[in-house]
This record gives sequence, structure tokens and C-alpha cells, in this order.
Amino acid sequence: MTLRPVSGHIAEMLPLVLIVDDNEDDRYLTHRAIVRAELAKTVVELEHGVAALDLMADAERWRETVGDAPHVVALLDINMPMLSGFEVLEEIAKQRETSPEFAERLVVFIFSSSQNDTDRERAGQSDLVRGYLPKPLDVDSLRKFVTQLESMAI
Amino acid sequence: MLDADLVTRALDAAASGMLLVDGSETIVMANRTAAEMFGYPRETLVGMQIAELLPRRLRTDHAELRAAFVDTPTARDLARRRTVNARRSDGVEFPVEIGLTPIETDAGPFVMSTILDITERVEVEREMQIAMEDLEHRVQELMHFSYSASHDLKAPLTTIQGLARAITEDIDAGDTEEAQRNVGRIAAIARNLGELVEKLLGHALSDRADLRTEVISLREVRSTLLEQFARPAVEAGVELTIEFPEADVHVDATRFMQALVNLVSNGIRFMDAQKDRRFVQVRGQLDAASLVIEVEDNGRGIPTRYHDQVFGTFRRFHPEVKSGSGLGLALVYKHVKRMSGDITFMSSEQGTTFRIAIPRGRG
Repeated sequence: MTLRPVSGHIAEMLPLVLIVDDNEDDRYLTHRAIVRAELAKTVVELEHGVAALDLMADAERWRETVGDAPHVVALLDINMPMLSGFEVLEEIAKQRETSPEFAERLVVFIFSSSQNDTDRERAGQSDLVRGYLPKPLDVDSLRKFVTQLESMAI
Repeated sequence: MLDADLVTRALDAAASGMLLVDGSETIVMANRTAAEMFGYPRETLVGMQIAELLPRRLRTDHAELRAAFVDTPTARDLARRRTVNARRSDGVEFPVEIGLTPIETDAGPFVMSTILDITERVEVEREMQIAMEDLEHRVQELMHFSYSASHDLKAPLTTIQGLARAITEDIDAGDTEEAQRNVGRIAAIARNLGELVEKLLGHALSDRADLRTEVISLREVRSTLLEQFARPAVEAGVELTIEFPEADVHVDATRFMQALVNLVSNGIRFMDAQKDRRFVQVRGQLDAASLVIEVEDNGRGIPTRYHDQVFGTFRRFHPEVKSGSGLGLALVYKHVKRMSGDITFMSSEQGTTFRIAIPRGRG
């Protein structure tokens, strides 16, 4: 099966989804699920938090990547080498202060196989985080994800 | 009425030092324990100011403390004991616990001080404090370990679940090619998971298992390493050299080999493809007391900000290198420590050198 981006009129309203996950198989599965459910205009895979922060810090690359997507939804894995998802979140929060335009369009979902309550709580503390999605992304959590996106009026 | 001599003998028998102090803070009576505790002959002690038994910096405090006490002798004050530092005749300070009891007489106010030398108690408390901190540190480590272990065991299972569902979808859609790719993914994950479980077991055992020392020849160690790594090294384009002196050493062979295997394997795995000539060099040196082994590579190096975490469990510093449980160096560290050895490293973008030194024992 090939992963194809959604096209047409609806695509204009769909967000850009950034998958930040060090695990290649998990990126594949997430990417696949999002494409199948036609939830994204474009999906960008990033192997680790540093790559995500690099992208966000580079204004030109960021604009190029995001294009005219109304929103950017970052799916952030927690357990990653070097920078954990939480550390990435802290950095994003810092960047947000200096670049309000960037902030307006970005929302984060923590996406992890961890059922740890502390992880959940910690995720809930950041106002950047709109939700906590368990891995693997099954039909139920996808549905929840969609509801959350809709409530954001995307 | 008891005679004065009997009273003195009774006071001398007390385990606490006792000093009777008059309204001008002069010591008018001292028991034997007090004399011994402060290192003055009893005759000298009697007639001294109470403040002379305190470190200079505390003298004002004491006067205040005592004055406050004499002025308002309430029941609560009576029960209260204070811990201060006292000063012996030779100037050495030691911690004491002092209880003060005011005695009103026709000749004016007196205060009876009973004094306990609590040096030992303070020392024990300090040791306990250190032990507690150490224990807390270990608990933290253990929590980190079990958190990481459970995550690293669970995450691949979650992925397998997801892939299994994907395969079902692929089959429904008649896409056998994608289904096959996903089966391959599952197989690879299962293989890694098996290796991880084995490493975890090794870790659990390394804490507990006895030290089993035996005589092994470094020549054998060299050929075992070459046997295992010659091919992976060639595949990674890494030049592997091992130079050991001709000698036998007395070590725990299993631990020793596992430590070396992990270091060499890391050296090869974390090679830097940007460098034209890539190498891993293992050098052994023997001196009178120890066997020193250096494993040097010109790989990608460990980023400086992670240097303090190098020997922690489940630490991975190179996301671009896929394999690796994050347990290897932690295990090396444990093994070397268990063999009463030391491990240090230097790392930069030019490469990394690990240096282990272990007592060579007999043999």
C-alpha cells in the first residue's frame, strides 16, 4: 500500500501532522493510520526531538513545511533518546514565546505506549498539549483524536 | 543530711557531666565526668566561667541562653535540652546536649548543667544520613530502571500489535507485498526483544552473581574477540586491531569478556561514516598490580552533555544508530566495579577511548 496525501477541497482544512518518534515502525504505523483516516493534508516524519526543534527554529524551513496548513499537529513520543518528548515540549514552549505566529498554529498531542499516570499528568500540565494518545493508534483513539481536532474547530 | 563527700561521690558516679554555675556564671562545682569530658582537672574547672567551655563564636549565645533561662524558669524550659558545640581544653570542639536546671537559694540563683557528650550519636546520625542518601539514590536508579525496562519491553509489543492489525488490513486489501514487509518488521522486533530480555537478565544477575576468578590467557581473549568481531568490523568498514601482551591474568572471565565485548561492539556500532579511515583499537597493558585495557575508536563520540549519564541504564545518545538497548555500558560499569576495577573514558567528536583497570590478581 502506498501512503498518499489527501487532496481536493477538504485537504485545505486539514492540518499538517508532524510525527516525532525515534521508532521507525511506530512512525510507519502512525503515518499509515493518519493517511487511511484522511486526517492530514501532509504528514512529516521526524526521527527525534532535535530534528523537530531544528525544524521549528528554522523560520524559512518551517514556513516551507507548513505551507498554508491551518494548523500543525505534532504527535510527540515520550521515550526518545537524547531529548525526551517532555524536554522537546519545554523547548517548544520557549520558542513559542519568541514567535507568536508559530504558536497560533501549533498543537501537540503526546503519543506514547506509556500508561504511566505521571506521564499523563505531566502531559496535561502544558497548555500546548491537547491530548494524550495511547500507542498503537487504534480506531478508538483515532476517533478521540478526531473529536479533539474538531473541538479545536479545524 | 548527707555529708558533702557522699554527695560528691554520688555526683561523680553520674554518666553525665555536671556543672553547678552561680549567678555570675562561674563554675562552683564540677563532677568527675565533666572534668574528663572537658579535659581540665576538676580544681581548674571550678572557678572558670561557663562561657570558657564553649567555642568563642558561641559565647554570646550561651550567655543569652542562660540569662533567659534563669530569668524565666518555666516547666517547658526545664524539660528542654539543647544541642551545642562545646570546646575542650585542647581547643577541639565536640557536640554536647545540655540540660539546665535553675536552683534558687538564699545565696542567689544557681544553675545546674547536665552535659552529655553526643559525639558518637552525631557520628552515627551522620552515617545514617549518608546511608539514607545513598539508599534514596539507589531507589531512584531502580525506579528509573524498572520504568525504562517496562517501557522498553512494552513498546515493541505495542508495535507488534499495531503491525499485526496492519497485516490484517493488508490481507483484506489484497496487498500481500505490504503484508510481507510488515511480517518482516515483526520478526525483526521480536529478535531485538529477545536480545533485550537476555541483557536484562544479564543485568539482574550481574548484581548478585559471585565473582568467579580463573586464569585466562590474554591470547585466548584476543582470539575470542577477533572471532566475534572480525566480520562485523569489516562490514562496518572498521579496522579492528587488538594488541595484548603475552600473559595470563586472574580475573572473572565471564565479566571480563562481557565488558570487552560490549566496548568493542560499541566501538564498531558507533563508527563515524564521515571518517575515511575508521578504527577500533584494543590495547592491553600489564603492570605490577593491574591489567589496563584501552578500547579506542574514532567513532562519533558521546556528546559532552551526556557524559555524566554514560554508565546509567537505558541511556542512548545516538538516535540515528538503531540497535542498542541502552544497557551495554551500564553492564560494563557494573562488571568492572564488581571486579574491584575502575573505568574511565574520554570522548569527543574525534572518537572515544574507554580505559578499564582491574587488579590482575594472582596468575
